Amino acid sequence: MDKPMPEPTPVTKPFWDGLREHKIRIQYSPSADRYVFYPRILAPGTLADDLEWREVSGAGTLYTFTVADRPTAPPWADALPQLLAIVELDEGPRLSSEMVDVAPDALRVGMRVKAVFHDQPGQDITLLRFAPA
Amino acid sequence: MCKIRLTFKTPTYAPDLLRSPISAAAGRAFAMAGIDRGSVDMASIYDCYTITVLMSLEDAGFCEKGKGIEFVNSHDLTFRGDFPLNTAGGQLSFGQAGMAGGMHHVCDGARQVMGRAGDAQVRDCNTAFVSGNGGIMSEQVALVLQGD
Repeated sequence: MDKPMPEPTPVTKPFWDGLREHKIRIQYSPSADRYVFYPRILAPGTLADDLEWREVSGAGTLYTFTVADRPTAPPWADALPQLLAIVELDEGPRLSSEMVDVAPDALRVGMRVKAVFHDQPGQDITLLRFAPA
Repeated sequence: MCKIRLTFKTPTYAPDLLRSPISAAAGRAFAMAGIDRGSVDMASIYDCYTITVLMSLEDAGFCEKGKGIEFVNSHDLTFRGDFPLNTAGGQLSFGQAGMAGGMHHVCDGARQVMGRAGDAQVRDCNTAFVSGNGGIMSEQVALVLQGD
């Protein structure tokens, strides 16, 4: 079964364009001196209209994770165990992702992680995953 | 100066994954009702998952943070017990039926306060606490229902 793919919107397109180049670009609000994720139109907390796209390193820590031994939905029946993860980037924001290239029992909250870019065959999409740093 | 009431939709973006919005809602509901947690005769807590119940009990102030498991293990949660909880069965019993799932908790509390809970009636039930949840632990509401 085909997995559903992200559908970039005008607001999120710079993020997905970045991933295709194997770069992580997220938003930053100079007035709030704060990185922001997920992509949006105005800065959270201040509603400042000054969000700009900046490249970040992809280094971060594993904030929390779930080892899914059963598929979260039918398209992932062939992708078990799925290592669902929330990663906190060193720049501050957290994002939902998956851990790869790691044994499930080696996962630890707080472990250092690095970005891994997974180009999707036959698709114009690259997914952002993380692996032990 | 602006105020954003809804700052996240999933816990990934919550300031603290383990602090849920029911805290503020319950505090306000109890203040409006002018009663404390000890006056609650039954509770109907939104139970899309077991963790939601544990976190709601903690964050609504029924027990200390991190002690939700101890709380449910040390109380009788049946309608005859010392902390009747989800006496209509809860969504964990009959499925998460969208909006109806949330309304079931309101009906559960209202029926108990009205004395119309049939075989599961909590004796002398005059005060019910009801919680609701939306988004993914991002939008939560609290009701205090009272009869006489």
